[in-house]
Amino acid sequence: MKIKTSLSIFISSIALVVLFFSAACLKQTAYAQPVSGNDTDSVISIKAFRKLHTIGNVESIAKSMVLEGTIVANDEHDNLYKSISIQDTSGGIIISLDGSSLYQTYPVGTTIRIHLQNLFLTDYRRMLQVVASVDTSSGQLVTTGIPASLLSKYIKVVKENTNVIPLLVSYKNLADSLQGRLIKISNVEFAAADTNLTYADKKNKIGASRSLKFCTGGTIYLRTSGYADFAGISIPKNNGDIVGVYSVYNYEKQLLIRDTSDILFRANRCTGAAWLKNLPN
Amino acid sequence: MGFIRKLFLSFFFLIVIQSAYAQNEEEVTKQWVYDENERTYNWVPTLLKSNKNILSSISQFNGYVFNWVPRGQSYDNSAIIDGINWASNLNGWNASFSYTGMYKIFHQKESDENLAYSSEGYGKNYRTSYLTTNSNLFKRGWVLHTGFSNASYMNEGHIQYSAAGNRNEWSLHSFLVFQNTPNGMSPSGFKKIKGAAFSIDKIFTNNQSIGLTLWWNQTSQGKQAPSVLEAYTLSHQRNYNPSWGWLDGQAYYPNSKYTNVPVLSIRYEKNWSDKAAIQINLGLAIGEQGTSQLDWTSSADPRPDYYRYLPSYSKDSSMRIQLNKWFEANPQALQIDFDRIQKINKASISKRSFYIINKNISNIISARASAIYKFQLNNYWSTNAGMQIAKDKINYFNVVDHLLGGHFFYNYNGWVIDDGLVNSFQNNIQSPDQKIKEGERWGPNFELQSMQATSWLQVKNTSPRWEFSTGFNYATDLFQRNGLNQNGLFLNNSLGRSSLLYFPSLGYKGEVLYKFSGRIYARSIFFNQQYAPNAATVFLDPSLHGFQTPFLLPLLKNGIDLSLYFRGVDTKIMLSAYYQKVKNESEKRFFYHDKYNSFVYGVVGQKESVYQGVESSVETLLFNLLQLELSINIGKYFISNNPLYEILLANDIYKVESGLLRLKNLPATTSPEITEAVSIQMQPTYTTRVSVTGIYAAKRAISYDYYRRSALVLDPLSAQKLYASLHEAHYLPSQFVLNASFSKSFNLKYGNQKIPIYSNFSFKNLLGTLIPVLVFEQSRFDYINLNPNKYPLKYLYDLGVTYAVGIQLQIQ
Repeated sequence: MKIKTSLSIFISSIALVVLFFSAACLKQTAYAQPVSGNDTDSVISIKAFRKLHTIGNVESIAKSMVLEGTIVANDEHDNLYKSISIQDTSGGIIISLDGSSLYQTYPVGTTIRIHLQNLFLTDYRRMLQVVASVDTSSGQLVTTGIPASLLSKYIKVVKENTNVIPLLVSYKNLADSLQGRLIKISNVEFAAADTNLTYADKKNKIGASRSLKFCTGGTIYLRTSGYADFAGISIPKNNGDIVGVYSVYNYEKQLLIRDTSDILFRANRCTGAAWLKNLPN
Repeated sequence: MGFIRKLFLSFFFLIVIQSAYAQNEEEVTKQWVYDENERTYNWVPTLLKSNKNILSSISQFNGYVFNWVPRGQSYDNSAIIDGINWASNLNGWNASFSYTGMYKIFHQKESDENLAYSSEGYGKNYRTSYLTTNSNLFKRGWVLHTGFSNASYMNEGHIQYSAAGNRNEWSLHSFLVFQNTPNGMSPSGFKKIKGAAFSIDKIFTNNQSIGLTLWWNQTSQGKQAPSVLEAYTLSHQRNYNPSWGWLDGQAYYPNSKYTNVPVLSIRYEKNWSDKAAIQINLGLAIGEQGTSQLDWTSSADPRPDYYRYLPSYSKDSSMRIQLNKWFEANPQALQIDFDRIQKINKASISKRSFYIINKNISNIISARASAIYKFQLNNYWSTNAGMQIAKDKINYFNVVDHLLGGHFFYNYNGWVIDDGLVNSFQNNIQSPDQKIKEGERWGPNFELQSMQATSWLQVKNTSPRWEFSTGFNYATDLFQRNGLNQNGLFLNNSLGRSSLLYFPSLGYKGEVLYKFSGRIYARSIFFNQQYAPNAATVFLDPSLHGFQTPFLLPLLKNGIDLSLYFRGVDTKIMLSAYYQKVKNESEKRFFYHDKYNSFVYGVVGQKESVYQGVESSVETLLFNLLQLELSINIGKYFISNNPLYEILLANDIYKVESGLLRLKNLPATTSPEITEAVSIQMQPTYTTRVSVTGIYAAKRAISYDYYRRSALVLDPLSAQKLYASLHEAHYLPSQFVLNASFSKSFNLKYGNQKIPIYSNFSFKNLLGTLIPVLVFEQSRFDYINLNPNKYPLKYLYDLGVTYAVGIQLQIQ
């Protein structure tokens, strides 16, 4: 009897351990899967969205609406910082995102939907942008992009590898409606005084504007960040086409290139009447 | 009866095999474990043994949750096994990790044969362990064991076989073990152990013996990462772990450590009657230890608890609310999104991996030779002398373990500050822009060599009233670095051998013991010991160059204690007062410095600390039923000077700061300064034991970052509130932990034979107290705006209520 008792206690104990093992094999730590945002919000064109803004104001977006556009520029070469530029057929706009290496998640050519509710439409020196928060407590408007943790909440990828063709624009057609769009300008060259300079001051991380002269007359400024990985490269001397995102700094017309491959200068510099037009007074 | 025996043996093996199968199934899945849990199980049986040193036992097996170390100083981590000290002066070779999960095979006994001094005093080499059958500590026969724990492993099995031979016969002692924690079942993650140990000895008729010991353990286990309080709050988990995530719908644990080092030793012993004996040991360990973790370059920080991703980073209150709600609704956002990481790597045009799983590997060759000679001159005088030569050579390198969807990883140094020079970030300038494939080496590649020769002599005089002993030791340490590749940052100092660096050290100690009677005696110990630095301290950054660290001086420890003992039949009392001083302590840290916008080396030198206090313990038998152990300890452990420091830019070792750190009177250790412990053991029947242990710990300091307390930062702040928070000591709340265990043994009769079965159940932290086992200031500090909350404290919490169940069968 005593043996039986001992044996049954022992077997019961073993069975208990086996039970634990079985539980161990079955149980899994499981979190809920992320709930995707609903895409029933109304889509607004970028042009219509831009019209909601008055320069100098901050518009809080209370209504549920969605902006759909294709990314034309990002921070891949650090010329844009914490932002991407998107465009649709009607226009373009800068979206401020509080993250780094955004290009890895949002490469050029990716079509995205941005849920605008609770975001803000504002401008920096007349350049329109979408931001996530604004602070005026310091007396100045300080904006912050969409927090990195909330990117997946606000932004959904719709399509990848969309081919983006830059819009060919002449000097006289450069206007605020082109802000944030990928444009191409032709027959331009850097001012002679700038041709011995680099794109920006790479060593001291200071951005710079270099004059781009149209042979047909007119100037647009190529703006480069001091953090851009091509900031230390000498600017080309030749003439040709250039692709970039149209931007403004107050009333100064600017172009932001994504990389030096956006510059296609193979022709000789301007001569004759066109060249004369660009001579300094 | 034979059938029954076969039945339950089959059943037992079925469990063992089932668990082993589960382990193989988990090979493909990464899991997770917190190192400290190793002790959880082992805490049980020791508690049930009679302890010669209550303080040591309670603190080690119950008090570690508070980081309680008697007398405040960390333990001497020597791993002395069968006469060989496997501890190394090189980082990357952790001898005790080479037998993790195999503790039960080793038997420990007190020994004063080694001169190493522990913080508890003279001759307390508590880690002197034996595997050799010569130690007469092993029972003959088979031991079969299986266990289950929700703390360190989910299931365990081991088989032990010992056979003791007579003279001129071989004795054998062998052990097989496995442990397995399935994926995600422990907050610490996964654990896989397969180990074997084997020892044979032969005693010849002419008082000589020879023996051989081998152990080989293949272990891979997860490592838990600490995090900030905000992340714990968001996760609603006391055991939140930020370093795992989801990949292809499965939990993926990249942080791990592993060992695969077979260790072999042989020994020869000769005795001349009872008067003299010599033991000669030779040992060799060859293998690999390492860690793995997620690594990244030119990419966003993937850690979900990175300060910029948490709600507190947002200055806008409505955004903070949004973020809080987001994390509440999406708990997976607090884990790493490996699917996204994989997508990023796959989407890269060149198929470059920005994120990888990296393995830091230490390829180890470790050799030891030691000899111990013991001589009993007469009834009063005895002596022992010994020497050990230790040679270690470790090759350190990285291997890309997993490209996470990409095709290659650039061999670039990720932390170099871009100085516009194209080569400065090349890890191997002789092969620039090298594309590393999975399984290939990358990063720094260098060797460190250490050679240590230690000799010691101890003399002891014993008389009816007095005992005197003294000991001297002398050691020399040699270090050399050998760079195996030339990096782009330190072209002239990275490749090739450094000069040979030589560090002598010596020490002496003494003990006086006076016996008032057979039960009452007083003892005093005094010592003064120098220590050579280890290789990690000698070189500023051996992974990149051979420059020496500033402030290199021998570490000096000296101290004295006075203890009174009463040893009655049922009651033992100890009262001890101690004072210890440590000089020339140094620290080195590599961190990002916001002010210099660069990675830097911070070096502290000539730091001094004082450890003083009173210890007491009582052990008594109540009503012939309860064994009561009590211990009350009060100490004061503080830094006693304002040490020197330097800040050096990592890019060019340019000194940008130096001066004094305002550390005087800051706590010198994280060990609690006040501890009170009570342990009650009850044996209602011969086969049943119950034990309950409670520990109260107070004045626990956090681990401080020293560099933010420089005179440069603090002196201008002396009138500000921040000065107080940086200058004054802050302690964690006082806490209480309650542990319990229950053991029961049975006898199974088989013919005339009794087969004992032992079972035990143990519970840790029964009250579920939320105990931080680790709290530290991050090395990153807001040196620009001096906002102490920008990089807050990091925590790691105790697991809470855990349990372990074990059943053991012994067949002799």
